[in-house]
Amino acid sequence: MSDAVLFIDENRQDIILVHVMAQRMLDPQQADILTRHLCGLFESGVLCVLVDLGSVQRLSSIFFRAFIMAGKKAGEKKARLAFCNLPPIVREGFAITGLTDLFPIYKNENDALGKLAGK
Amino acid sequence: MQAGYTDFTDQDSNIKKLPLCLPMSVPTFREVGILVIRGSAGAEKIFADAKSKWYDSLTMQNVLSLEKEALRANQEELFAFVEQALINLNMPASHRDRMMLALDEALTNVVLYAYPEDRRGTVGIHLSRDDNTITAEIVDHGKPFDPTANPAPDVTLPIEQRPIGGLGIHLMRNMVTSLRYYRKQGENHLVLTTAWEETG
Repeated sequence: MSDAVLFIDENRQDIILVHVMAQRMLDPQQADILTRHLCGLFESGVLCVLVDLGSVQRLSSIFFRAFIMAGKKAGEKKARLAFCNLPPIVREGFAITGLTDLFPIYKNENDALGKLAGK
Repeated sequence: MQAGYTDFTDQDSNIKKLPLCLPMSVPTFREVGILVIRGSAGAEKIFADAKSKWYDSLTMQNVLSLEKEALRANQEELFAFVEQALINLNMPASHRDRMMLALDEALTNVVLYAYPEDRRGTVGIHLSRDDNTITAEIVDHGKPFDPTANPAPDVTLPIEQRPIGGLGIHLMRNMVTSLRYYRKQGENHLVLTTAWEETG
């Protein structure tokens, strides 16, 4: 597994913005770390998490699985999980796996923060 | 040819005979052969790149084959190498991204499921280009597994009812133009093909 930073959190208007920093998200260990992190945020009482995938060039199915697990946890906690800045190949993966129907997807961070804060 | 290599005269039928021991001078891929690129103008360059990186003793008749542990440990580097091979084959970037995703899913399946934990095993990758079609063939001699027979998951279910797994094969199937499986002489062959139309 690469030693590079996997993600950076930012608190924006009570929304936790998770910037995923890895360009190639293929590693099962990275997927486990991200799953635990997202689920941990919901466990700790965070009600809205926005995942920024703008830096990601490639995302394998283990990460779609991670997002589904985090989405289930969000549902249990009556919280929200959303995504923004999806590159075309990632957006295609979201569509193929049906994740576009499970989660709000926003064009960019500002669009997402404005809409999520208003809800 | 150095000790530890097999001189292949028929690369298609000899993958299972790949050597399991390679010279200590190989820096990272301790259990690796070499990628075969068939029928392309870029083959010589790809081969030269790989040779300069890993070996001094390769011939064009060698075949890429990784021990599953080596694949697991060197996944990132292997993928960079395969991607470079696709670049050298002049595969358009958007198709290349999709092919790489499909290959990741296919190779992960082999690494995780083809061989019992206590058994060594190899994974072979062949790439070839014919006009505007790239074919990637993944070969292992693990237990029979036909991913094309897997039913597609229901991706319309709500989150509470969504199974966690089962998306990899679905993703792979949708990222390439065609996916074909056959079993031959104790080997699994998974053939991923991507075709595109020339633009401009």
